[in-house]
Amino acid sequence: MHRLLSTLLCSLMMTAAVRAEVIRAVEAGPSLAELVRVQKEVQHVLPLVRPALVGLESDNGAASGIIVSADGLVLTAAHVATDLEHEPKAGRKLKVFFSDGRMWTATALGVDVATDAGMARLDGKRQDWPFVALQPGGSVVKPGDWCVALGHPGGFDERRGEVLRVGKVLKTTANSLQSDCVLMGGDSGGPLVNLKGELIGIHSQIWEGRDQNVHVSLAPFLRSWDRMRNAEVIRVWAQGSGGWLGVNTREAEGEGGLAVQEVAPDSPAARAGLRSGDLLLAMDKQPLGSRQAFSDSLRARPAGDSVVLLVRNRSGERIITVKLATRPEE
Amino acid sequence: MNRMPCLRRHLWVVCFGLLAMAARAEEPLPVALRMNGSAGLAALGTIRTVATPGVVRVLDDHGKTLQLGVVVSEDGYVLTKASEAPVGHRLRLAWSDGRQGMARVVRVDTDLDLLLAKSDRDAVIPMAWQSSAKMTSGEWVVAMTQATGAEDLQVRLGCLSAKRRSIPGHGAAMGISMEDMPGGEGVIITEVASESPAESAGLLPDDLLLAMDGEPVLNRRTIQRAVAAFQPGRVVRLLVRRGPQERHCSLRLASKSKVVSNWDGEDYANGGVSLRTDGFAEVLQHQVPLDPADMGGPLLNLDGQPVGLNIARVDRVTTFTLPMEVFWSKTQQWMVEDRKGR
Repeated sequence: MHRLLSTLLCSLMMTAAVRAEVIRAVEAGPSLAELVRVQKEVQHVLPLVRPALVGLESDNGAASGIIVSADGLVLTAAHVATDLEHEPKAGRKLKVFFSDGRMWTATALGVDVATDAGMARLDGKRQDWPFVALQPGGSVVKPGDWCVALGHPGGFDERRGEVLRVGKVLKTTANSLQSDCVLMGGDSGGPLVNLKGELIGIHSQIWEGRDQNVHVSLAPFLRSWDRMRNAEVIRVWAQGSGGWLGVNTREAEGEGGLAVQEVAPDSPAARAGLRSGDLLLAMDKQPLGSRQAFSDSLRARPAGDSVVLLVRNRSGERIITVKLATRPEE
Repeated sequence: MNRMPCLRRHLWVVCFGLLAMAARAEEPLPVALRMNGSAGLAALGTIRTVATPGVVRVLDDHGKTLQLGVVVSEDGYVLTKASEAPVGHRLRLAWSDGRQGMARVVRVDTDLDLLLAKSDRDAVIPMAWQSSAKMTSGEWVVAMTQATGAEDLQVRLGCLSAKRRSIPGHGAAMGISMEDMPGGEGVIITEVASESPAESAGLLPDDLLLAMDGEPVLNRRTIQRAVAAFQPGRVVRLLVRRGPQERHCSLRLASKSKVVSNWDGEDYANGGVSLRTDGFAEVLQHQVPLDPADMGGPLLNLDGQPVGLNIARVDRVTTFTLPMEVFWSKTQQWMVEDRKGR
């Protein structure tokens, strides 16, 4: 137990040190050298992502998507895959355009109505489609990270090709990202990638400002992956909002961790014996310190997933395993 | 809040869902740290300082900046965008040192959409053009903007965002639907497009269009054909009857393709689009967030060298730049001829 705690403290300190460095660097803004490095990485990533980018067209309009597996699974926006305003369902037929001008067809699969996550599959049995990898679990997208948006704004145009935008992640929420990569109609469903070319989001919607470009994060896709791939429409807000533990916490000052303030009756937390006053130190070996990050990582998991918590109270420390439930309707 | 609609077809506009989550958001990145925030642009300070003397602002009669221009010779020739420059033989310019002065219009090339003017200033610092031939998608570019309202021009960062290509022209339009007057004179306006030249000129449905450039308007088809044959940016003079009143008005034609696709004003351009957005022999496309009044200014590479002239703000994500290769030798030629002729 002591060894675990000291490992945790160590990683906490490292995190703090790294974070301070990042903040200093970011506050000063990128140097010319960093801009040159970013350009190099963007130009390295572009030819890797381009073959997996698709333009999509249905009777309802033109949009974009990104292939994420060799057998042709496409991530896009729910409002591209189906008609959200009437009866959302799988099966919409889509024309597919590749950047090199080749054409194909695809069929829409499941969607998550609440978060605008949608899937489609390229028709046929090919197993050698170009695809991009998802950013691996464990790495976190943070405000200030560089990001690259690709898509077919205004619809597919072979002479123009795909349109690239480089920018910064401005904000993250449980199910979405906001960036200053300016988007417009036709970009919907297109990919937002990091500087390694790994997928971090799917273009979803814009507000009026140039900085108000919203992307679906990977969380809604990951927690409902199999169900969406099986062409299910995820309609219920409670399912769409991810795993539920049933605690209210506040950030513990000085000592780190999250102090439990309230435990919902009959919740997974209550059943696991969590009580007001307990201090949550870590979840799945990741130290806890931010309420937001804690809540986001719970919501990024589906109900039914188990998490391992390191808990401290007056009688000492213990490790408990809790199975997340579906958030009850209020 | 909008799902991003596609301009060509139906609109995908749905509003819900993420609003509820906005309240849960963690601290957003401060504005200064965004790509085009003050800290984000700090590294470009030298580029701005070096480029500023080579850029002028083109003013209207009231001193308002209409667009930018680039100083192209030590003896005071200036290049700017033609289709939205003031009509006439002289331009009013504001220089980076705060001085203002007039410039004589030397040449207007409606194919290139460029205007060359000669100021009476001497020993100014021209921009030293650099080839754009090897630049590709993803390369950083820097543009000058006056959108902040500050006295000094500011820089904005973005990257080349699509293939270098030609943009075919589809002629000009006023932005009106018309019907013939059976047996009568002129044509009647039935619809006025949003944000169109016709709307700016104050035309309204039910106005009777009697003449264009002094020629009587016979029917819908002849006037449509005449307008479509002009380049966007061309000023036409109309005689219009509303009720018992007849009046003359001028309007500046816009690109037909833009007027048609933006008929109901749905293009979300955030700051508007240029009158002319097509008919260019070759363009570079970039993502730098600019406004129509920033056109005519230079596009710089990360070494601060100009590689082209910003020529059209097209939509929310698109600005076109004329690469220097398209106009450099022609403009040199115009200057040589003009110096000889004086």
